[in-house]
Amino acid sequence: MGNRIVVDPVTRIEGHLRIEAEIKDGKIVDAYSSSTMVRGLENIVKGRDPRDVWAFVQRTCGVCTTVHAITSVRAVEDALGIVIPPNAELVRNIMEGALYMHDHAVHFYHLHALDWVDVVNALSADPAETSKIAQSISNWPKSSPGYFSDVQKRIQKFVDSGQLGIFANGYWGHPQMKLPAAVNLLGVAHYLEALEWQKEIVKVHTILGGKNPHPNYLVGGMACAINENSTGGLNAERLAHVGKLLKEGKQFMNRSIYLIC
Amino acid sequence: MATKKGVKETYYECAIRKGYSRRDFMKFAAFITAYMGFEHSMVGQVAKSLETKYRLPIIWEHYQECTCCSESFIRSDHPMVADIILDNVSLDYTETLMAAAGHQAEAAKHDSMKKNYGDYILCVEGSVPMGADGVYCTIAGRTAKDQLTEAAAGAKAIIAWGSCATNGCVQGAKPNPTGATPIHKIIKNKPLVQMPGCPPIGEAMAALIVHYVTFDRLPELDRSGRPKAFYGKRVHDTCYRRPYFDAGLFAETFDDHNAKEGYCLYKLGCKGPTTYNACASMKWNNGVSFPIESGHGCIGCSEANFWDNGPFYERITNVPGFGIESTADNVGKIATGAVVAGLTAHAIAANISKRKELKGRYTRGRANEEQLEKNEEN
Repeated sequence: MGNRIVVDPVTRIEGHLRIEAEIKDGKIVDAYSSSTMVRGLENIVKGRDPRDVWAFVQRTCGVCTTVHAITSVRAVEDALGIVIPPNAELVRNIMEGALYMHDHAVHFYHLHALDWVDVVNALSADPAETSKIAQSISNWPKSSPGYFSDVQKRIQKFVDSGQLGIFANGYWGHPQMKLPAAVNLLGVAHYLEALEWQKEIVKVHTILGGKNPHPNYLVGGMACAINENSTGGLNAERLAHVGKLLKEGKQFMNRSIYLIC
Repeated sequence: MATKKGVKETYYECAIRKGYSRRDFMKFAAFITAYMGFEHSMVGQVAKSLETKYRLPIIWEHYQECTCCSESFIRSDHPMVADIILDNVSLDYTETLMAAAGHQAEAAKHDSMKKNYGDYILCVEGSVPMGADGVYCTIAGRTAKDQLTEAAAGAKAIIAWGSCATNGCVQGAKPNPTGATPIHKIIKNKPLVQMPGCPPIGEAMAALIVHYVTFDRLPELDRSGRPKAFYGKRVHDTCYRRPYFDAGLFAETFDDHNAKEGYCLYKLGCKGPTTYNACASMKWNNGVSFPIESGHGCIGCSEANFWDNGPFYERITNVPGFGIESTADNVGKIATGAVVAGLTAHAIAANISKRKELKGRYTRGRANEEQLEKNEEN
């Protein structure tokens, strides 16, 4: 006779999810998942102006914002045989690339890491060891023993306050949290860095699509005009801003994120 | 509230504990003061409040939503950075960020609601499906309505984040298959702040929380329950392209010369004239841009039923008077036909008067192109 475990809500996802798992002799033998929220967007878009539908379906998800919009826009263009201008394609690709970076960092750290990075265990880490590990993997500048020591002190004081906020009731100390303390500290440091950084990379969407979450798309191309001689379009300053954000994003991706995987 | 051995911690203590200096803290206070629209002389009071007030427990519920409100909130650049805001208000429950899941998450929520009964702020992201006995959204095996009623009982005030919680947003658009219902139609006995938008601007969300923390009361609201600081003006009123509207200079298509010049997007369906929001003044993502600045008309995402007021790319017909300021109250009084006719006449007249300028622009543009071609040839 097995046991059934229910996890509802599954947190750190977009939407609502319930998992029921049947367990026998300490092993999962069967599992059932239910999406416990529905809005009926498929029915709502019926009969609408096809040019508008990207905005409706974009609201499927505000975490991976844009992917449903671009799919909708492309579907309409394919159906009508519209070929978009090369610059519009480039702008779209840049936006998708920026989302790709943003989503990876947010998913990896803020939506996933707390399942295997033990925040409380990071308090017992030796910052010098964390620093050694970090420096052996990449040349990301925030890797000194002093830096990790500061992060550790910050977490220590946070835990000491007794008010754990989003970290309350986490699975700290669970035997399946298998990372060594030094790596946990690295994970916590990067969790905080990524939280700061994620609001920067989305500015690519703001410049090209007007806002984030949920930037604007357009059937037939993109709305942002390119005009190097006007304040009304993408000029050298705007493009340089996009360039800087992408460059910084690349550095962050290559040198910080995934250090511990 | 923050209690450790019976001692409550203030925002100031919290900031210092986290390694921020007194100077950082004062800068933070100055930002907040400016954002809330107070004079510089108020910085002292804001700082004092933050120094002496306790951390505010927050329960953040998620119903029928896409999480764009939570995402927008963590994009807030100032007041201070996202992690400080998250740390300074004690975010005791939020499905998007909390470590715990399942019954441990529910336990954390109930602990906080019990301990802080009457003191916590309930933030709601998403609408509540009332159709089919609420089966379209359940959390921990209970309907959204059930969860909302329980969480609202002990709340000091409720913040309805985004268009979902304030007007039902996309799932409430016709035919509203799940009976998506905004919060104010269900909970009627609590102070309620409406923060419409899909999503609302991150900095506005953070500023609202900080306003509450600082003054222990809600900011001034309009008759729809929206903070006047962010929803007091139409996007049209503060839009940097407004002079083009007044001058009758419009983009006719997204790829014409006028669009490239950044002329008014009204004829391409911009809903700025009927949308109350701070997009054109605060802008998005730390003031980088906003939809109109990036070439796309406003879709009116902070207005009730905006999904059904489209199509997005059709010109609206109920625009209030042009050139002369008109309040929302007057909009209904003006005969729509007359306005549109007047607008057309205005556009024609203005176009004639601006013809010279337009011609000049074309000439200059052509000269530039010729020069470039010459350079290439050489």
